[in-house]
Amino acid sequence: MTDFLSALRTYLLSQAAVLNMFVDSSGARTIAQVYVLGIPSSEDFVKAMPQKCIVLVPTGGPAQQGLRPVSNANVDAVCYGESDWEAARLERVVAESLKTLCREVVGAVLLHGCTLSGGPIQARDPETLWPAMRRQFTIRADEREIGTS
Amino acid sequence: MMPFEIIMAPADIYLAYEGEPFPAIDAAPTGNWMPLGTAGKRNQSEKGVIITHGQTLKEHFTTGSSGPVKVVRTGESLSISVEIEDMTLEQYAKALNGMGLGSIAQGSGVAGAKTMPMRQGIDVTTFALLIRSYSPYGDGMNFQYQIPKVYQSSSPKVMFDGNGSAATLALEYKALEDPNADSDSLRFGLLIAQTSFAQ
Repeated sequence: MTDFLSALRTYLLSQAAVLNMFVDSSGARTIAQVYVLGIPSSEDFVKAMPQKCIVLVPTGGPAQQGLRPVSNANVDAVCYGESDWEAARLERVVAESLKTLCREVVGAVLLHGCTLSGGPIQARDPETLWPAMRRQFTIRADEREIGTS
Repeated sequence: MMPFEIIMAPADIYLAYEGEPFPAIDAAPTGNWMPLGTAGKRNQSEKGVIITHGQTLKEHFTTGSSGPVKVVRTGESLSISVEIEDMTLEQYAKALNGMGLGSIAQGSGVAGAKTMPMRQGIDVTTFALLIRSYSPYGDGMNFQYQIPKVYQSSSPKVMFDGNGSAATLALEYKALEDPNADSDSLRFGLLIAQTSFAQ
């Protein structure tokens, strides 16, 4: 099995439309913040919230029959923003980037493609109330690392 | 080769009039090669591109055997099916014999428009057809069906509804044998899978 979550993170970090969402008040680009599994727990990061960041969270998937070495895994893209509006803006860009993913090699991982759910849900963090939008998608990723099979 | 041998990606179709040279495997189709669907594969329905290698076989039985002892191929066909969700007349014309388009010039009190006659007539237009997808041998390389002579064989039904369906042109292109092919085996064209990059 390959680490397709990290590959997806790298893929999103290669998308100009995603990078362009991370700008400061002067319009200068800032570091794009894309994480897997959860947001950083450091005090500095938490103090800076709510801010734009993307978290890729595995959310299961359908049972797989047969021996085809391709994972069909569900992943949620949780997009935080300074406001609900900004979170929604970021989510639309992330969704478009995932929708157009087609046969991308990221490191040693071959990502075949993504299928998005119909729309996002508003998903404010229940404890912090940070604005967030969340959409599930299915990633098709080859389970064999390139160059080792 | 692995894991590229599994292709889970769509394909683009390009059409040109018969006789158009095919692009090199690592070159983008340009010039007279026009994509089927203004936005290429983004105008295809989710059914994708279906390539059917049809054949008719005749098994021969003898009196003394219960199973076939010989088989001969009595016919074969090659067809390409796709549904295009693109109602521009440039694309619609590809469903109707490659009809030429007309236009109504914009003027005072006259809206500009494009027109397309709908009677196809007796002669069937033949095209060259190119399908592009991803190579099963590596990253960043192409897979290419090049079919020198096809005709549009379907009878498209276009439906406009309010139920969320897109108006669609269901097309099927059937290959004809190309009498100008270099050999008999090339009369339906050639399938090419890129294996390396040009030096």
